Amino acid sequence: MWRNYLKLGWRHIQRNRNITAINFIGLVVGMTAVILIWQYVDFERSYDKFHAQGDQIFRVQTDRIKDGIPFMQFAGGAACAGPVIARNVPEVEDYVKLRGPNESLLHYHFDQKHVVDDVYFAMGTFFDFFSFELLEGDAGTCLKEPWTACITKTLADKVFGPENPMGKTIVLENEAEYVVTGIVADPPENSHLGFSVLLSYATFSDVFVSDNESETAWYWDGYLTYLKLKPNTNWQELEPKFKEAMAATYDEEVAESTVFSLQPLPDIHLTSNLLGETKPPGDGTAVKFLFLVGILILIIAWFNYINLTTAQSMNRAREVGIRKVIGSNRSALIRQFMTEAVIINAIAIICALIFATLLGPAFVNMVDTPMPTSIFDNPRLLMILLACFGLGTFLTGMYPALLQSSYKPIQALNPNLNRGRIKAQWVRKGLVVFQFGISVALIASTLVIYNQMRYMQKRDLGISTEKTLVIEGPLFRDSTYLELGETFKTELAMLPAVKSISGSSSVPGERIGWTAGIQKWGQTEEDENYGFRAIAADPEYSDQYDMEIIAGRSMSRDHGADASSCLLNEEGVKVFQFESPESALGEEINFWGQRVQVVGVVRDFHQASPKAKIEPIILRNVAQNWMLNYFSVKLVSDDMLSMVENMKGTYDRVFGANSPMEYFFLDEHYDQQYKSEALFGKVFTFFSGLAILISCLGLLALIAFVVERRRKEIGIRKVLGSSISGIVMILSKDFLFLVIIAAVLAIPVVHHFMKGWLDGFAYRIDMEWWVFLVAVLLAVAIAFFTVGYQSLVAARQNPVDSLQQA
Amino acid sequence: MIRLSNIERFYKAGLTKTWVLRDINLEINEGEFATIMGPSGSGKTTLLNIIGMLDTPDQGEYEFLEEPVHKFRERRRTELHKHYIGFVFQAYHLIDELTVYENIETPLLYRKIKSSERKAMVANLLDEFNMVAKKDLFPHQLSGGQQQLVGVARAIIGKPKLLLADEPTGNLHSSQGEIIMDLFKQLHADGMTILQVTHSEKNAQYGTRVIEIEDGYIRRDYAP
Ligand SMILES: Nc1ncnc2c1ncn2[C@@H]1O[C@H](COP(=O)(O)OP(=O)(O)O)[C@@H](O)[C@H]1O
Ligand SMILES: [Mg+2]
Repeated sequence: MWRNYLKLGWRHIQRNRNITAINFIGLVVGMTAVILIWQYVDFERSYDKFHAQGDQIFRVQTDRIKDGIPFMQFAGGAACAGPVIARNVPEVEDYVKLRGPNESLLHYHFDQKHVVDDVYFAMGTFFDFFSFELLEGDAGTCLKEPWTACITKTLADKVFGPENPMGKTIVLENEAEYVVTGIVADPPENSHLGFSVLLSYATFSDVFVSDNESETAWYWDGYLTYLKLKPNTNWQELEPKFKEAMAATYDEEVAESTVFSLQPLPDIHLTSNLLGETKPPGDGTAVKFLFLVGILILIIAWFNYINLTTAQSMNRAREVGIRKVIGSNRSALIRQFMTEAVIINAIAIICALIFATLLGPAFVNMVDTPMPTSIFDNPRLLMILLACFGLGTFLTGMYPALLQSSYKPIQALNPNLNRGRIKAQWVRKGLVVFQFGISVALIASTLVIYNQMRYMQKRDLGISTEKTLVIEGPLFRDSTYLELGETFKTELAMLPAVKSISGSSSVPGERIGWTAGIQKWGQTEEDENYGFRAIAADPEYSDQYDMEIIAGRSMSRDHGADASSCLLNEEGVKVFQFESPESALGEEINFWGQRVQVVGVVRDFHQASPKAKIEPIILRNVAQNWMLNYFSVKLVSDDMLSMVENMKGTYDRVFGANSPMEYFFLDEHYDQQYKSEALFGKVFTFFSGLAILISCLGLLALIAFVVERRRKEIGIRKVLGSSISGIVMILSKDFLFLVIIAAVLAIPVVHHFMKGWLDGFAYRIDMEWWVFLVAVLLAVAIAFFTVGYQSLVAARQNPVDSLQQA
Repeated sequence: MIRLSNIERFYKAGLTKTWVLRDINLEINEGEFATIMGPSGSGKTTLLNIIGMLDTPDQGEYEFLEEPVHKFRERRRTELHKHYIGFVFQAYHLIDELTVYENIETPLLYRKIKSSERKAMVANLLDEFNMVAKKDLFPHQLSGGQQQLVGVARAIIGKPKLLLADEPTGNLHSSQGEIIMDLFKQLHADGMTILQVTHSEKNAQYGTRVIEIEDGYIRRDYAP
């Protein structure tokens, strides 16, 4: 019997090639898209799931709070967090602390220096917590003693070549010597911690820091702290205990202003975006939206299948009737129709798997994520997909099977009788409404996303990022560095292509890492303490970046006292509660005990992308080695590359070739910030387009059926004198009505979801009514063209033909 | 074999009832070859469908092989129908996607007959009907008469006790019709009970009994 079903299913598929093709293409495209999207989503969600004890591990996050409002939230929190919590909260089994990531200069042979990213100090318990694979060395002891280090396999191969690194000494920053005590497999991409060197934390806490401050200071941030909780602890109930511990160890005030909370390890990548994250955080919202789009695409493809199969079932009613007369019962018919569904779905998923594998690398390229390129690397996801395929086949096969097998033979075999179409028609209309609803929703969402992206990119940043090349200061800096910096600037300024040059601690295009609590002169930290972002910069900096001075003047070398002058931005003026920018002029500020005077106020500018809120900023002069991180070079023309070689020569000459010159173009650097949104926009638009396309395909076929069924009516109407446009109108009317219903249902849903998305942006567009109007009109237009085309073809036919046929 | 008592069949259109069959009392014995005749719309097909258990009467009792069909649920009726009744239609109603061979074989599939046995049965019948050469053709490749031959073959392959034929020659040329009628005669001679609907006096002559029906009533019942 099964062979018979298969044979029959196959013949039926062949006989209805067009419909099958549309069904099939929809399913293949849909499933391919879903496979790709879900691979990405699955990868983003797989972060830190590989740790054996991951469900017991939590990161301690620190909020700095003033007047009940957190003004700074750190991923790496207070120095005291781990020890204080572990001592006072019995549910905590153990903790591990890390400090980093730092960039560092590393060598084994003196003449082979390597710039390495992601250097951390890590406590000896590191390998108890995390399931990173230690290839060589002893997990219990390798990071215990001061001056020991573990390095990754890749780095070991690069630095040591064929030599065995174990027990050898590596040198950091030309002076600090560490013995290699362990070699670690490269951390997987889906880990929020990515390291190349782990230095023993004892080196930091026992040697570099005095008075045990790294374990007791409540005011010192930047320590990544992870707790291991006893099994079955309810972590959400622990936070009040942290507060009690802080109050007991320090005092009530400290406990109020330094608040700890926990982040489950696997949630960090997609949900946490705090100061000092170890890797660029993932976009949880985007991942959620894409997951949803994946499901929608699948549903659309399934609905196509259901729609087309039930529409077709009219033609198969006769077969059902005959079969019942010659002895089939209902379940045999259901099995037969299910077999057809299985055949089509199975071939579709096989094709989809092949396509997804072929397109994998291109897709990975498109989403720019270090994920595996083939679904076959992910057996779990493969199983989910197969289960999903099974469910889909069952759902899409079952309804048409039930419907088709329900026909009564005498009705089915009588050509003059209505074959119980009404019920099926309502279901079909419902599905079409749903599909159009999805289309309207996706079009509207795409428009909103696109508008927001454009809004961000077109927004007046308050600074100019053009024609600017930024050179990073060398990593190794001795006491002569500031002087060398002056020399470097003077020499570069002599190049004809260079318009101006200035040094600074940070450049636009990133959040400022340097935060400082400052107050008006005469006040102490206890009285008031405003959290500012600080930029140390040469006096030329504000002019070079075209910042608008709205009160006072920029800093200047001509004023003798300007070593102690500063600029505020408007937000800073507000935070200090000065009445106006003018009234801020001349005010004196206590900056870490130093007395600085406000000489000017700049209009608010977007230091970071408009996604982030503008923060209070204070601009000071460069006073110390560590402040001079960047040299911004404004060039005369856009042709910058030719200049770079020249500059490299100067750089090597001035600083000595201790590390190669690193540089970037500021506009590109700034645009990097839009990368994840731009990517999301691109991927979302692409897959929305696909979804709409599949929808249209299904609609096209469905309308072909409707037109076919009404061919006789069309003929009669024409004989009676109806115009072609009149007939097109009659046929299109029903579908337009469905689109309108769909739109009415879809708009509130889109509005809700898009509002959620936009809330992630500090500066955002309003969702205007025309966006929805355009989406609806577009959907109407799409429907009208698909319906209209088919109706036109039908209406043009010679009425005699259609009447004779019927 | 068949006993109908006080069978009524009507359709409701709005508030009015239209009777198709009224007060039908009819008995047909095993081995009869009966013909139902009457004008179009008089209810012949409806009667045949009720007897064939494709339709249910609104009132009255129907006994088939001493079993009270009117009391049965759909499932049991389907079973009875499957085992004892074969149908031949005016419009042949072959399955387009199946070959001649497969069309004839299908009822056996639903009766769960073993493959080897199936093959033998179909081969025999094809031979008997002189259609061996055509077994791999699809219905649209056959003439009307040949299609109806397949229709008859399909109806009898399951060895039903009762063969119902609704205007089996209605779409055929008279020479083709004769072939079908000769076949019926042969089947009857071999012991099959046959009930046919026809408009042709000539075809009625093949049978042993004529039942005339008009406006839903049985008007006459006689031997031809
Ligand atoms: N489902 C139905 N609904 C309404 N009327 C029906 C239905 N089926 C049959 N009829 C009517 O019943 C009458 C008898 O039909 P039928 O048995 O097919 O007649 P015959 O086969 O004698 O030509 C006809 O008038 C027909 O219109
Ligand atoms: Mg009839």
